[in-house]
Amino acid sequence: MGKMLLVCDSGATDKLQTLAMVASGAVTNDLEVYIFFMHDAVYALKKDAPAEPDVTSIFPEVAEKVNQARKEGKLVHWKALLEDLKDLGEVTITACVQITEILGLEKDDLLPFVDDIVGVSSLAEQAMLADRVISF
Amino acid sequence: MSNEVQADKVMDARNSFCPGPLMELIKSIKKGEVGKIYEVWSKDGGSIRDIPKWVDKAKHEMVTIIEENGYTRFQVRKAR
Repeated sequence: MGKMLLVCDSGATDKLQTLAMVASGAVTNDLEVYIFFMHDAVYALKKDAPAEPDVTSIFPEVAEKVNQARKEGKLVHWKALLEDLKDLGEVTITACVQITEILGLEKDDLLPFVDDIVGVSSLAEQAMLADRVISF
Repeated sequence: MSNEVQADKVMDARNSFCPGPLMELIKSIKKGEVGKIYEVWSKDGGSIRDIPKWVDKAKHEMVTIIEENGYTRFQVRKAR
C-alpha cells in the first residue's frame, strides 16, 4: 500500500472539493491517505462554520455550471466524501494546531471526521513517509 | 458483455458526477455479502474506465456492463 499526503490551506470550496476528489481517487487505488488542514481550511472544518461560499473561478461559466451542479446535488459534497472515505479506506484527517489555537478551537469544535490536531512537525514527518505529497 | 443477471441491490447514481457512482458502488460492496450482485447506474463518462478498473483492483468480479439509452449499468459480484 502506498501513501499520499494531501495538504490544504484554503477554505475555498473548490479547493476543498478538489482535495476530497483526489482523496477518493487515492482510496480507490488502495492508497493510505493522510490529510493535513491548515489556515483557512481548518475554519471550514468547524462544526458551526458559516454558510459555505460558492465555488469561484476565473471563468464565470465554470463557476456558474459547477455551482448549479452542486445545487442539483450532482456533486458529492467534500464533507460527505471525506466522511465516506474514512469508512472505505485508511484515511487520517488532521488539523493544524497553530490555527486551532489562534481561533480558540478544540477538537470537539471540529467535524467528527477530524482525527487529531497536530503540529507542522507531524506534517513534515508524514511528508517523509508519503510516496506523494499534493498541496491545495 | 451481455451476461446480465438479477442484481441483489441497484444503485441509481445517474444524477451524480465523478466520483459519485464509483463511491456508491464501493460503499454498497463494502457493506454487502460475498457472492451478491451489486448494480450501479451511471451517466458519468469516467465510470466506464474507473469502475471496471476498481473492480479488477479490488478483486471482485465484473459480471457485465450494459449500455442503456444515455447511461450505463455495471453489474458486479462481490468476490471476497
